[in-house]
Amino acid sequence: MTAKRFGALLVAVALVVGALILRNTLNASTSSGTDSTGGTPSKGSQTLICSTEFAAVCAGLGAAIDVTVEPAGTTLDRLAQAPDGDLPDAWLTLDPFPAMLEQTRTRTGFASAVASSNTVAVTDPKLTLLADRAGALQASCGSAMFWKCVGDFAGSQWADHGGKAEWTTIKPSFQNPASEAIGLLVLANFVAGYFASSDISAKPLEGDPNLARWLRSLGTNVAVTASGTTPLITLLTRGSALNVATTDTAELSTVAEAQTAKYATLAAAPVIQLRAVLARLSRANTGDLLAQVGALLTKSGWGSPNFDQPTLSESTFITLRQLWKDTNK
Amino acid sequence: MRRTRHAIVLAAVATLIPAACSSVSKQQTSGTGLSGDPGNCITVDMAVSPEKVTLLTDLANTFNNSSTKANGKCIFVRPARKASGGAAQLLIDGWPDPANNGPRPVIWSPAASGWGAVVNEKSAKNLAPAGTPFMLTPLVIAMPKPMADALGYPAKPIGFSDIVALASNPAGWASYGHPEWGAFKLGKTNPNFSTSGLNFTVAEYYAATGKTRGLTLEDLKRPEVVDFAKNVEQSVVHYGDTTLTFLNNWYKADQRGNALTYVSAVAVEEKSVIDYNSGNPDGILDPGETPRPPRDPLVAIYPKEGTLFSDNPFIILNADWVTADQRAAAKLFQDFVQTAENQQKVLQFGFRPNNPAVAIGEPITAKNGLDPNQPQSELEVPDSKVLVGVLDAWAQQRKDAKVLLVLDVSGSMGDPVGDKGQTKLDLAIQAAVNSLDKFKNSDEVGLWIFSTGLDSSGATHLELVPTAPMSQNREKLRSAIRAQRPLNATPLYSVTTAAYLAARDRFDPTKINAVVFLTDGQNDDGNVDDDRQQYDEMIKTLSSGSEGVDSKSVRVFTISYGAGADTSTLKAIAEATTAAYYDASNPATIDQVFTNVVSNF
Repeated sequence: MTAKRFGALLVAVALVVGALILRNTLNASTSSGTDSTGGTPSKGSQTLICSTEFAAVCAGLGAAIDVTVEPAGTTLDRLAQAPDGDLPDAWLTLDPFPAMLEQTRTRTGFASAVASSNTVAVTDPKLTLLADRAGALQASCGSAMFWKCVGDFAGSQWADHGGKAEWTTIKPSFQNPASEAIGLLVLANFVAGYFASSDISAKPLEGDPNLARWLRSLGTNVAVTASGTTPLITLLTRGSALNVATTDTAELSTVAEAQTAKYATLAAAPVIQLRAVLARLSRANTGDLLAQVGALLTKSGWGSPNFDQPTLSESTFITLRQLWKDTNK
Repeated sequence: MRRTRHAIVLAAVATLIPAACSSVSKQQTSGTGLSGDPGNCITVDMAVSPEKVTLLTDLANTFNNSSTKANGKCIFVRPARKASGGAAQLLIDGWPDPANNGPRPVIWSPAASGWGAVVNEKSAKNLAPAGTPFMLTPLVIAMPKPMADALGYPAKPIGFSDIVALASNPAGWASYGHPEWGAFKLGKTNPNFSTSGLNFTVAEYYAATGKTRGLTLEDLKRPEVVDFAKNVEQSVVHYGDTTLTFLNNWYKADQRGNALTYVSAVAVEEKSVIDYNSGNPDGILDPGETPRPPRDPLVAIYPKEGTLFSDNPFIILNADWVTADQRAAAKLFQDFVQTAENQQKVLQFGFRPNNPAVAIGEPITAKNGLDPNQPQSELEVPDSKVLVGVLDAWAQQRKDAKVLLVLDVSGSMGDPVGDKGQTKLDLAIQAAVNSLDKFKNSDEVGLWIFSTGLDSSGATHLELVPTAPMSQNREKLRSAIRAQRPLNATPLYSVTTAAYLAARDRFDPTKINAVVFLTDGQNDDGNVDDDRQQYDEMIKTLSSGSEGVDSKSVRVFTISYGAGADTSTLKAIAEATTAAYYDASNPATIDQVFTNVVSNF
């Protein structure tokens, strides 16, 4: 083989090797754009528990964050008895779940877990239903606040409340209050409607047989949606499963107008806002994470926090969660 | 020299291009429709109910080629067809024998979430956690348009209770001015195998109680509920593992102009109505097949009490064979199929999308016999204990069967199978014996064997166990089947005709009357000259007894066993009696095939 031939062969081999390197580079760049699990977290990366409601937001966090998505009730029950060393760095959930965790741990002799808790964004709960059913409900409820009215009417026939017989029963829907943060917050709004006051911590939840009966009836007649989906999505894709969807301003903002043209959204009162909170459970600095989460929530239709509403009492929510479990076994 | 150098560079470039592209180039894997092989990627095996395997294979191909990675590794999703009830039983049993049952799945997508509840209840484990719906289709009652018109639908809403009342009415269609349509006949699949069968059975018990939610185990035991269910089941033509048997038979009857006397209504998923009305009842077009719309199209009746949905969940299994990498990869594929672009494909396929960004439209339209604004309400899916209770109750209350088993014991059944020293007959005997436990005591079952020269008179079949209730016959059948040895030739045509006529002579209108016919060969009675005549007479006899209002319908379910069976004749026999043909060309599958055949009873 002459030197020139040898040179040509070397060029060829170099080209092949270059192509393989190029391919690997292309693969790597493609994968970085589509690896929504975040890849294998690097050593020293932050660990974040995201409540199910925030799964989409947390999917937008960078690969440096090791994200676990699970229902807030599962996290609460697990971390309530977790040794200090087993705590994640942060928990993105709804207020007052971090405070509920703290109180549960304190009661059972575990060390404090929550170093700090910041409200990142807020959204208001709403009711969405087909426009003709909304008209019937508004006419039938009169001046009654919708939470209470929907709770009272759940399971009865639309025909008895100014609707058509073919609409069959009034079937509201929310997520499971025992496991999902948003389910418990929506239930709190129903209870606020029952008491005609958003300050439910001032009300005697335990030992009220009428409230227990009302919650039992609500539990029997509500369509509890599965974890990972929402009543609004179920209403839009399978309207026969439910007909009054509980939702919120942020979720409504993510749905195209054309999809909700046939529907009406009612602002039920009184309102207990849904507040997204980022709780720091370790000494790790969550400053950057706080900013990232805040930006992603804003992009998802959540509003800036305001602090003109009363603080949610963790004791009240622990009691309410247990009351729901007891009345809906 | 210059040419040599050019050649080397060209060779290098020729090597370079495929090297650069090899990560996306895939080979077509024959038969499955799936491209490529897993290589070193994370393999995500899926067990998928049959109606969506084509769609999911298409989506898996796109996903596998998208370079999506989980934990830094490439992903290979591999969907495999598995009926919901069959997969549920395999999961309960720990998914044994992957070589024959298919790979252990990471994602299980049965037709409806209820199957997950059944698995968890029967296994006493949370193997199948709540899944994410992939696509939706409601259970409807499919009925030929003339019949729906006679009932006044859609102006007059119709519910399960109306169907049940008609099914229980001895006057049948005469009560609606159509005596020529005879009795009301219901097509309903076996709830242990088929989702539409399970959903209809749940709806049946709801109709019996007048409830739309909160069905309880106590409800199932109430005498009036038991009587109600027995009445409904009396109108059933036969059961089976898939609605496609009904739809294919219905379509063929329609082409002969007698769809209205085969069956009056069948509980199916909404998507099946689209397929049927387009002239493609099984939803699969063979090469060169041109769909021809039926003479009498079907109408989907959305029951006024509400109905149940097949939500086709993606269930990422909590099984010990699922790794963290597979779980992460499965989640990515689950997200991929939910995108608007892919949910548009779901709609094109005839299902309702699970993504609200895709509005329901064509083909879910009135011109296809559907109403996109229905159903208005749903029946509540019972909790897992009640679901299992429904299956147990149905097993006792289903229509009794009167079945003649006809086994081929010709010489070729002695051919060896596999490497364990077994013959085809050995495997068939084991499968037939296993199937006996699936009959209830009030079912009547008998046994014939056939071959040439069975006795000194030259008999071609012998009645080894006369048809009698299983309470008396079970052990006799077990012993008789186990005693069989391979003998001579295969007089297929004459014995089929004889078995059919014998079953007709003993026809019982309160039962499902059937012959189960297993053979591994071609007709061979020692005289080829009269084969054509024998065949024509056989088909004529079978057909004439199966058509018309007053027919004594004896259905001949045929099993084509091994590679040498005359499949076209066996298909023709099943078709002539509006029954079903089963393929056991791989002898290793005979046990499962027998199970599927017995699901008709």
